[in-house]
Amino acid sequence: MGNFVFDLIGKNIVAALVICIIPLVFILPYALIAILGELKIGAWMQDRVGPMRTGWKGVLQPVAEVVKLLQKEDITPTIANKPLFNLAPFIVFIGAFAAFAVLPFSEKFIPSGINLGLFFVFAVGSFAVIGIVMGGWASNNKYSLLGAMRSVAQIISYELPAGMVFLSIATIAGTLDMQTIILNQSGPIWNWYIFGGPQGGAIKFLFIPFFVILFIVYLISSLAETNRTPFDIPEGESEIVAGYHTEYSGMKFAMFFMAEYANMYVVSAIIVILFLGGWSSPFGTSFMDGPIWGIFWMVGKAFFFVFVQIWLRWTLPRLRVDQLMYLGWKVLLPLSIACFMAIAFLAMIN
Amino acid sequence: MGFLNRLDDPFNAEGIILGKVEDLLNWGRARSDWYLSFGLACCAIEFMAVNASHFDLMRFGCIPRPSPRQADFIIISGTVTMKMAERIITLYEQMAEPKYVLSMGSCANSGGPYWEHGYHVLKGIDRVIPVDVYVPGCPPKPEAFLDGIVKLQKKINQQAIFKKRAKLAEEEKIIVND
Amino acid sequence: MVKYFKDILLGFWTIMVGMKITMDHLFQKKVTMQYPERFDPIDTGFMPDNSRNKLFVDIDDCNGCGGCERDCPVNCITVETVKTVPSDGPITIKSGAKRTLWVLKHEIDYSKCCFCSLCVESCATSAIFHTKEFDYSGYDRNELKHDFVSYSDEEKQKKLDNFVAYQIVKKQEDAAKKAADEAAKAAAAQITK
Repeated sequence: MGNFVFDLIGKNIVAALVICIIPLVFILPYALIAILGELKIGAWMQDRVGPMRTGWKGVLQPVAEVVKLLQKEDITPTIANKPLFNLAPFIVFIGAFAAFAVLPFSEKFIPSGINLGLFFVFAVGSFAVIGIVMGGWASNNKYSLLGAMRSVAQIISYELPAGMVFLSIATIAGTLDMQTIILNQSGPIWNWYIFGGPQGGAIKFLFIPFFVILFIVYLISSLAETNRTPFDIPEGESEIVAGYHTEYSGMKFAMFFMAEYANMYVVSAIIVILFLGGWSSPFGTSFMDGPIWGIFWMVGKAFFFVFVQIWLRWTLPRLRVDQLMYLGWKVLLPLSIACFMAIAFLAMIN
Repeated sequence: MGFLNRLDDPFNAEGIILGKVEDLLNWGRARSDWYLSFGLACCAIEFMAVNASHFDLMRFGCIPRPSPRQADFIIISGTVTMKMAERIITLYEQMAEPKYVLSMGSCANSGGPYWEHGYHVLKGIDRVIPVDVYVPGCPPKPEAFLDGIVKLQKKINQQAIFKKRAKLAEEEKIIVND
Repeated sequence: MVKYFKDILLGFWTIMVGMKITMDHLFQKKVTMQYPERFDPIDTGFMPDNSRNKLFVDIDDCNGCGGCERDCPVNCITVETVKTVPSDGPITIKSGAKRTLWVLKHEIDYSKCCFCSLCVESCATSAIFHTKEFDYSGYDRNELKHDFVSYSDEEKQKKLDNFVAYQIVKKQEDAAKKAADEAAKAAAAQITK
């Protein structure tokens, strides 16, 4: 356990800077890949071919988009509240980036090994909504404000089920530390929490359905927290022009865009850490395991869930506001509370 | 169309390095055109066909954006009435530079069937905003529209960026009202 | 209560069905026809014979009657003609009929044209017809005006001059003929007296 950068350089300011930069270096290529994946997978699912004329089979499309967004005029509306308007995209991005501080990449690398990892992620996850409201309010545009308000209503509603899921896992794991949660699940594949956790005995099979329900609840509420389809009513283009980022152009819009993709990785990584054993190998500790393979498993599993999010986006239509509230308050919250109680019972008898 | 005059002398490169940077920047802009579609009449139906699987506008890097602030070019497809022309001007002015206009179909090009006696129709969208590519047809075939996109990308690829723009002359600023 | 759980299960099930459909389509063969690389409508003969694309006027076959101009509902066709003169010699249009009019201008403004095909139907010599060309978008509206007459300005001027000169000649001839006729008439009247 520990941090390989500290082992290498020692605990000093340089090591801290290197640790800060590593997630940023990860986010930028990841965002390009995710944008390309979004375009290509979306196109393939609709029997189209997607971008084809930028580089080989269109693989350079996101690069072209970044080059273009850098050149776009940066408009600040005259009647907008300028400081807030300019600050909002950065706050949204910081909210997404700060979560990377406690996301482990491998056994040997976690930017900050604080023992409140889950709580920290939960806290900075709600940070983005401040930026969204800031941007929506400062734009001085009715559609921006509507989008921001919808976003607030949505994220608050769906943070409760997500919080119950975090609580359940914290109860069964007995800790909020990410690395310890993953270590609990290390070993063979049936030690993962989605398969009932590491505790042995026949009793664990009784509780597998509750873990699966929690997994699905968190998958759904993570979609809502990242404003992805089918929960993209904050930016529903058929109702409110582009929601909270209607007035943003150029690089500021790109910041919103990148924050969305960074958030996608964050929630996927949390799903993987909570339910699918994080960086631990599915073949047990003997085969394809270790710090380097850990990166592969962690990022690979997270990318699979990024793919699932894209998959869901191109499958489902957008929910209506009342349906969204119904799903959040009347379905996900009761289910997650029931599962929390069942898992608390399991933790008690174990 | 004053500020588009710089398109008229495309090959006036300003040194090798700037020329190469310009190539890169133009490449990015040409290959990533986000569009704001402004469907008004039957051309919009054909435009939907362009977006669908058989023709797939996204092959050219054209991604739909709902907000004019994020769009690179606007597609005017259909009959532009006098009342709608005001909205088009608003939308066009809200777009961020560099911005382009693609006029689709006879009605947007010159008023089409209404060019003589249409008391309520704008006789060509180029009377209110500068048009970059005219796609003829009533409505154009999807392939004809894709040809318009190819020509637009060709035009963007040849632009000179590191040059001061000519200012609009006063007489060019006057919007035709008829 | 039963309905509540039933609804949840139904919703979950329908999402699964939808995701299966999209997953199937992810690996299916794509139907996109990639336009500039592949010219599908013409390559595969997909374009129907009566498709209405760019118009073309075979000016050698046009007798200049102006039927297309009259029938055009949007008045996008302009035809200008001048009469032939005897000094041009015995000229015919392609289909064999005698040419009585030189076509000096046959302009179609494609930016106004609504491709209704009425001009094609009204053409007596089938000189105007739809081609298979459809991709001719331009950077300028005037690029969409197409004049099918290839005579140079001098030739056009010469034809006009010829006609004017012929008219003068004809007027003199007519006057001479008239005078001759009147003289003959007068002579005939003398005789009958």
